[in-house]
Amino acid sequence: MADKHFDDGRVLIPQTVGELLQILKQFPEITIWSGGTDLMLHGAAQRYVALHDIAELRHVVRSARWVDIGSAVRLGRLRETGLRFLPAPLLQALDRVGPPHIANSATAGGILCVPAVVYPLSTALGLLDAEVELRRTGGSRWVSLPSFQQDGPQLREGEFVSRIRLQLRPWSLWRLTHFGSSYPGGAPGFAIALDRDKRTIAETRLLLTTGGTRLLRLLDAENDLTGQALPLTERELRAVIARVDAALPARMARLTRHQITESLRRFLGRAHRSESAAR
Amino acid sequence: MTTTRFVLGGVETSVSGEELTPLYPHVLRHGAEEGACTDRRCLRCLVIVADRVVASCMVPLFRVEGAVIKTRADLVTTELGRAIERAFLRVGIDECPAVYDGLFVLAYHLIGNTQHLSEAAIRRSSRYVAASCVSREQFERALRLAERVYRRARRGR
Repeated sequence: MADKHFDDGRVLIPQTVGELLQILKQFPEITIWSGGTDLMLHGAAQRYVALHDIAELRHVVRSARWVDIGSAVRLGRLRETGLRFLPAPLLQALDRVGPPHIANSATAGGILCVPAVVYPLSTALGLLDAEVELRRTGGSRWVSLPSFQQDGPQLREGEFVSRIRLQLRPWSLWRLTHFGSSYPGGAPGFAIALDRDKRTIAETRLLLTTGGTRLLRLLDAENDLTGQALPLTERELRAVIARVDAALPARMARLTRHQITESLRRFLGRAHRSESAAR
Repeated sequence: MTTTRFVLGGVETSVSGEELTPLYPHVLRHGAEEGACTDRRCLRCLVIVADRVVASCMVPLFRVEGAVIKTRADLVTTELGRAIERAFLRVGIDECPAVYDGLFVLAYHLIGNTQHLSEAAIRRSSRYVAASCVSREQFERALRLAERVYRRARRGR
């Protein structure tokens, strides 16, 4: 670790996870600097600890069923390295993460920890059952992404996001939609994915970002859809749309509400047709 | 206050300042424009740091310690730089001095880092061109033209 940063600077630069944990123990109030895209705009902390020199947090590890993404992996690099194996919804979200200079600075872990903003990337990760590993001195825990981002990042004192694990599952049908600019965040939208078993919905994921500030997984709507025969009847469609509508905040603009529900209705209405038509 | 050293315009440079100070005041005289946005989207102050396009207003000094920084002034003398300059002139981007440098750096990075710039990559990169004097379509045309000129020049060599 560079002494000047550790001793007297505002930014501490650890080289290993061990050093990072030591710093977090010594300065529990310290702010973690990952890509800095948000902190350069809104950061006002007295002291930061930067993650960019910790090699362990910059790895992307792939197995047959899942991918582990280190929290300090830049989104631009993630897209380049993962072009051949990352699931299509995630690649689409990475394409829309913002201008190239944002993708080259923002990191996978950092973008999940921006307070009060949920980026479209989170909905794509939610479709892939992403889990977040939170490490602290003496232990670690895994939290599902929707739980982690339900009301801002759920980090306890001395914890940091070390990696994100997502499942490499090929959904039969999926859609990722946001209304408005995906950068600098705040765009409401939804992500839905279905697995079909012949003419039946075998499994579903449905996530909403409302006002870009909350990530919700709609388990009730997922349960309603799972096991249904395709095509869905008008009554079944109405029931699912009603659940989605109820989950949207009351203060949401009527146009946005209409866009979300109608876009979802169209997707579900065509789910029995070919894959390309539904996308 | 710390001293940060980096290579700018091929010259070793050291600046003193707080670690969180943005890089861009130090690259202004080297071919980057001062930003005019509040959300870091205006593309005016783009530079290449360690082979990555970044907005110099978003990069704090502590992140460029020891890095090689390239601005439009460094890139314009290369073969690709000349091809981009010609394409920008042909398409009319030269009439938009505010974002010229940033778009130049972006185009250089996009064309220089791929064997072939796909249509998808062109559309992806132009999606965020937000300038009143350059349209998205103009930038896309300039990219295609610059790539064609550059590849032809390389083949002919």
